[in-house]
Amino acid sequence: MADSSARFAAIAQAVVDLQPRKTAQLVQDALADGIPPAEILLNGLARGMNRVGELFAEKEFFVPEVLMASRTMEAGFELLRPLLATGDAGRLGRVVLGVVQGDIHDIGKNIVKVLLEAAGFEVIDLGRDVPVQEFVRSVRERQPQVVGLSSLMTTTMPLMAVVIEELKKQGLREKVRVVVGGAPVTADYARSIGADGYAPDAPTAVREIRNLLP
Amino acid sequence: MTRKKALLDLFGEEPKPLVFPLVVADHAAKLARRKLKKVLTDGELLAKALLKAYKTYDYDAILVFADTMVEAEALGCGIEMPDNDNPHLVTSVGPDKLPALAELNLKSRLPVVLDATREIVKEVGQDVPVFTSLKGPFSLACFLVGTEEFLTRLRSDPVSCRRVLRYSLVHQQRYADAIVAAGGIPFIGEPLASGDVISRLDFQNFALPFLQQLITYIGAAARPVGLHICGDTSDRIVVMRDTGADILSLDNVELTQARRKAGKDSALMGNVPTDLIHTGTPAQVREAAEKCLKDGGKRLILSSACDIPRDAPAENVKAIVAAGRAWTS
Repeated sequence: MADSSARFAAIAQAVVDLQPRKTAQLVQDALADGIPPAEILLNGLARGMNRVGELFAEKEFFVPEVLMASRTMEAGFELLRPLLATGDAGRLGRVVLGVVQGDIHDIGKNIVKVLLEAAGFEVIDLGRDVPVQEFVRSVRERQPQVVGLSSLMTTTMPLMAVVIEELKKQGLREKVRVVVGGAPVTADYARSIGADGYAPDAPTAVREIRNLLP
Repeated sequence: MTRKKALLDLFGEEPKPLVFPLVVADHAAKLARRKLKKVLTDGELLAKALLKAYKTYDYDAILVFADTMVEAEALGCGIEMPDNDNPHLVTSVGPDKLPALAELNLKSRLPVVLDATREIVKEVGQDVPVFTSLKGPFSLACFLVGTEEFLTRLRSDPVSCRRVLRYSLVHQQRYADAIVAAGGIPFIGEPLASGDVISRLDFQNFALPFLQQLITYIGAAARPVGLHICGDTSDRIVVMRDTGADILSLDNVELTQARRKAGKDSALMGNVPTDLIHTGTPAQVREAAEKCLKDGGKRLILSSACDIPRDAPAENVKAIVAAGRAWTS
């Protein structure tokens, strides 16, 4: 349908343009015309958010733009949520995300969360300042395919290694892929603590997580 | 020659690099074997810890810095203060509930910082420049409103942002007055105006005008005025210079490039990588310090890129000081 592809492009553009009211209106119009909600999410909102992620990686967008974009996406997503079959949001897999204990810098983690959800992952967000045991418990009980650890301070970085060690001790390490990220974290560091993946920024985190899954 | 004179000379005809690593309460408390929480709540203990660090490392200036939450807390933000970790923000005030700006809130931890400043000035102020840290208006506004909410509002409601920024500016001018009265030279930290957070355009629109006013205000009473911004600021060195700050303290920026952009008159401060100071060897730290000295030009204050981590080995801080001394001897 040429018509719906133009609509999807308009929705995506409204997200990139950071216009929540326009986005909600376009989503509403698309629903009224019988376009399936999952397609509106995937081809409209998520595509817009992907573009936002690219613009962030290219340093055209910064944190305020990404936060506003996620608010914009949310304005459209709100209308779709009750209509989406459960399970759809998790069709690519389940990810546990959190910022390690002692660290309260969670903006980066929040951006990763929005991008993952838009990409079709179910995200269990443990928030910030998350104790080691809470990561472990969440892996045991929620059985995610991936756990994402974020640290924005050199002082809290070693806790990512502690989480990995603890997963090993409790026999859970083989059951989950671990991706680490945050400003002070490097690829070398990620390797040295035995992480499966490393992402220097939010869009890479989404790519990395996708690549880690079968 | 006193260290105060050496600082003056940095802006004279024949500048010589100084050494001034950002040793703040966190690392100093550990060095003094004190609980951080005690040091952050007691001016005398804060002064003792910072003086102990100064005497241990023997650098060229002292920074009186407790933690980033002091002013936000004084204005009504809720913080959590662990025994041995830096306090963090738990609740913000919100853009519409800011307390009236009357006198400084002296039933807060502002007096801890002011008392420590007075104490240190009394002890070593004849010889050593004593800087006292205060937050820039942009970062304080972020804390007051909640960082995510404030940053979102830059796009959705910039008028309310400017209102909070003006409020923060007025408060920081009063706080700067108190710092100067205590004998300190106000040194601005503006961590959230980083290139890792906001665009250069937002920096120009929302950080620069308020920094300019604050720096002009401070500069009339005490100089040199320092401005530290965390993270990558390589796209805004010229704008940082345009704030009027005398010292540009840089974190994750290549110093050759920064010097080219800032011109020869600004003092650059930085920037041995903090993670290297934390986990590297003294030889690696010394090498990084020598690179700063080579790249930063003569008007350089050799320093750490950001605060010295709590658990950084003392040998690594000593390596920075040793590199600086060897360079100028």
